[in-house]
Amino acid sequence: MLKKEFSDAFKQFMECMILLLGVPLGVLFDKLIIHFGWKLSDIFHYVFLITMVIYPVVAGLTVFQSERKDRAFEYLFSLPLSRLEAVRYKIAPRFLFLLLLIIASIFFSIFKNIWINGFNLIVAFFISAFMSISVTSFVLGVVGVSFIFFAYYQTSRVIQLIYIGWNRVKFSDFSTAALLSDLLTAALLLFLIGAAFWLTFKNLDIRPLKLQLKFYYYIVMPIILVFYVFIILLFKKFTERGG
Amino acid sequence: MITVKDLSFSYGKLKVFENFNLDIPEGQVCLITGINGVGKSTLLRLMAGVLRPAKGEIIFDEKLGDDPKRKIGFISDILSLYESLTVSQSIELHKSVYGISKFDDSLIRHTKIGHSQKIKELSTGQKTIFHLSLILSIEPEVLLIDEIIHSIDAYLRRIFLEQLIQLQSQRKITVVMVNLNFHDIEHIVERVILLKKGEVAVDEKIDGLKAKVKKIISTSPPQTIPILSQIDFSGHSEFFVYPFQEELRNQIRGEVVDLNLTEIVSAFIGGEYA
Repeated sequence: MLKKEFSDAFKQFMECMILLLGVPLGVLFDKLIIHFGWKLSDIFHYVFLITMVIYPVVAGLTVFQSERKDRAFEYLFSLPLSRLEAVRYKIAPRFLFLLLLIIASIFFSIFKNIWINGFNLIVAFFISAFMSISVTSFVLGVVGVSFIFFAYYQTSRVIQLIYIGWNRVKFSDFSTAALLSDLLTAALLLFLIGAAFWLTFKNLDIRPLKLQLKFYYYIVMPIILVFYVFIILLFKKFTERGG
Repeated sequence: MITVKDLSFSYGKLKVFENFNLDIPEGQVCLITGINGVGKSTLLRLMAGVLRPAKGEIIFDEKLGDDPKRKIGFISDILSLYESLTVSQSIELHKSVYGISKFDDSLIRHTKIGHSQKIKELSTGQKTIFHLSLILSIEPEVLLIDEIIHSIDAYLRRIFLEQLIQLQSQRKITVVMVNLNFHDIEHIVERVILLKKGEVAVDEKIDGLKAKVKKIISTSPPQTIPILSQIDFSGHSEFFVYPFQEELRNQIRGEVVDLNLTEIVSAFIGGEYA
């Protein structure tokens, strides 16, 4: 009991501290605006960029948030919906909003000379959505998504380097080689993590999640490990070549 | 209507059912009971499809079509609904999933539930009635009700049971209830199933059960009938016996007393704790 109360009090304390942090952050932000002479459009630009990065992760990780918060898994599973329909209903609206955001970013890029890689945002969204089944803490979820997204991003870079013959000069984030390596890496990673997610969700019921996620972890963990081993070995080779 | 065939289920290492079998015919009102943790709610959840059996299957009558869930109404003890939705949003969600165009809200108006109220703002009783009205809208063939009736007030309980009786008399639906408080439902129940260690320990029609379970008030235990449980008082004891046979009545020294359903089930459950 004391442990629970201590934990609750600690959470409240931290929430208050975050509120308290808001004041100096606001003052700091105000000083930055004055110091750099930012315009309103600049501020909008940065806020937009941050939103673009945050939204796919938040939207993906919270796919089952309402079921968790409201203890509504039982209601969801009692409805005459196939598991495929349930996943479709949960993911489709979030994906649609992400597409709207990407389209908005394309329009935005006309006025500001900064490109946002919408494909990477889609990958981040699906990584988050496929992780949502296993994540009960949002912070841990963000750490997990970052870890997997980094594996995707670096693997794609390595594949691009192999494709263009380890030539750093030719390396670009917006080339055909980059697009192809992104596509290949994303397809491979999302297929494997998506399969783990689907096979778990297909058989999911209202038993405690920890009893049902073993299979998911048995697939996802080795996949991520293989990706990281691949990155390390090939980057090592790249540096040995004096790249 | 419902056939449970070679069903096995466990929570991790905790085995609840192994090769469990049960058959519930169409139109029967069946009560499942037993001590806490015996698997009553688990069995109901397996029937509702929110838990998946490790082995075996639960087969529903062909009358329920390809997707039996469309005709199964399930009210769980935790009253699982999307708490952050309003009543009208929940109704819309329910209508869209089940593909129904009309929703009779007389029951929820009767219990002073506002359409703009959030589900989390409703009391347990209101939530139960709301859940029931959602279920009635799908015209169920099978109704699965977990231990919830005793947690709502007398007025809402009466409404709930009136609806149940009306539905049963009009459409002869199959009802499976899990309960530990039998006072209100005694006149509805036709069959009692007592679970013990993942198996059916007693499966009797209610009249048969009342004839077979008796209380004997005596100073010494009856010799010829198995005793389920007993309560000792100063000077005498109450022996709950099963199966009682009418022809043995004359051989018993003491008073033989008829029992109601609550007392019968308490006797069985008391025997398990003894």
